[in-house]
Amino acid sequence: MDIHTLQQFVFHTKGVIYILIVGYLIGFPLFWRFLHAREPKDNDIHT
Amino acid sequence: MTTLTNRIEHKSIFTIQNIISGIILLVGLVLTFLRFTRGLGTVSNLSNNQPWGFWIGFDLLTGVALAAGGYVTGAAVYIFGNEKYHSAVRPAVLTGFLGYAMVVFALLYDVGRPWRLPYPFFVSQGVTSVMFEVGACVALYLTVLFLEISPVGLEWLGLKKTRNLAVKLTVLLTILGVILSTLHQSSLGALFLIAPSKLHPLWYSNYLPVFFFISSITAGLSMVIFEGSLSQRAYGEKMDAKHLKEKDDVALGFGKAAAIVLFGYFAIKVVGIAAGNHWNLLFTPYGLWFQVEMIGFVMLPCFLYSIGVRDKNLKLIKFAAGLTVFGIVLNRLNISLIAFNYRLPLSERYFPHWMEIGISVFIVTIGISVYRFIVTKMPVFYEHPEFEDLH
Repeated sequence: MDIHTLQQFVFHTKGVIYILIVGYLIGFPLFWRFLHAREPKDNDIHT
Repeated sequence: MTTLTNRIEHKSIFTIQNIISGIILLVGLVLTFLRFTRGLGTVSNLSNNQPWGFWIGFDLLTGVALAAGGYVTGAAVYIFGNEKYHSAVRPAVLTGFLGYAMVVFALLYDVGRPWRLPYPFFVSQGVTSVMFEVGACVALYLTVLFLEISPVGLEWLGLKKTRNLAVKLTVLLTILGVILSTLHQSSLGALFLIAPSKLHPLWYSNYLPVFFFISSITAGLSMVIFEGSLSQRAYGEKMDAKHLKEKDDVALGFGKAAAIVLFGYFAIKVVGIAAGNHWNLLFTPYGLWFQVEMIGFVMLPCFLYSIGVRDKNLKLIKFAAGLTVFGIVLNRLNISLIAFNYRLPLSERYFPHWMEIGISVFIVTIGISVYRFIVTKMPVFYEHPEFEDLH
């Protein structure tokens, strides 16, 4: 995308940030589930 | 306890650790003499292009970030009520206190006229300056940390009444510590906002204060795990049952918190690139170095922490903690030295003089030596027999 004006720059960068934030809003709960997936099942500690 | 004390007292002081520390301290004293008799030019490569060098990048920026374990642990235990991490408070606050004390000590070398260090408070208050805010917060927080760690010394000295008074202040001091840390950890990043043309765009961002603050939380959490693992090896015999019982919970709990914070930190760093539209710089030489920092020392430890917490694998968590600590050092050095003045030709770029590094090693060694003295003599890893159940 060609950027010539401040308006185009802000539109472009804000657009990308909004897409990233939506990605994180989906990604974070998945990461949370991944982190806590084995919690209730396994209490063994491997040192 | 008596047998333990006897065993420690009968140990020879000429251990390899002590001999190496002694040599470093001796060399450091010579370098200190040179610094204060012949000036900054003799011992450093600092210049008008680079007035902030290794002492600021490593001793101050890294030192403050890695000393964040004090406020992070205090907040976890006294504000969020995670009593199961209580045994981690004293070692973390002690590390924080010594870290900040060494930061101020290092500043005496870096500031041209060190006897003027109190000037910003008592002679010429630059209240509109970020530097003033950093100075004020560091001075106040050092005092707060001293008061927070004072029960250790007071128990050792047997001053019960004063100790009980100091313990009563714990929650208030913890709240003050969190406020002051939030202020100055972020302000250290804000110091670089004044230099948008000097700092490489991949590291420069309007969000630098936020980056510094969030990364200080990961630094604090990781430092508690990393230092806990080293302390267990060196001072395992000094730890009481409570410490030994809680240490795994501390590693697992802090590891989980570090994974979550690193995930968020990575996210806001990517937002920082997007906000400046700097994607095209990612595959330049500096961009590749930036990717090494982001992937190798943010994303990778986040992933390793997550796996470690899922599998309750303490070895992996400790490795991830070490990686994160190294990553924080790298990040602060990148911002203050490596990606700073990036437009200058290589011949004019700053590289620290060996004596600068020598003085930093000297200061770190002093910190470690004091830490060793305190944990050997005072109730840091165990509860003092006369004060059990009074915490």
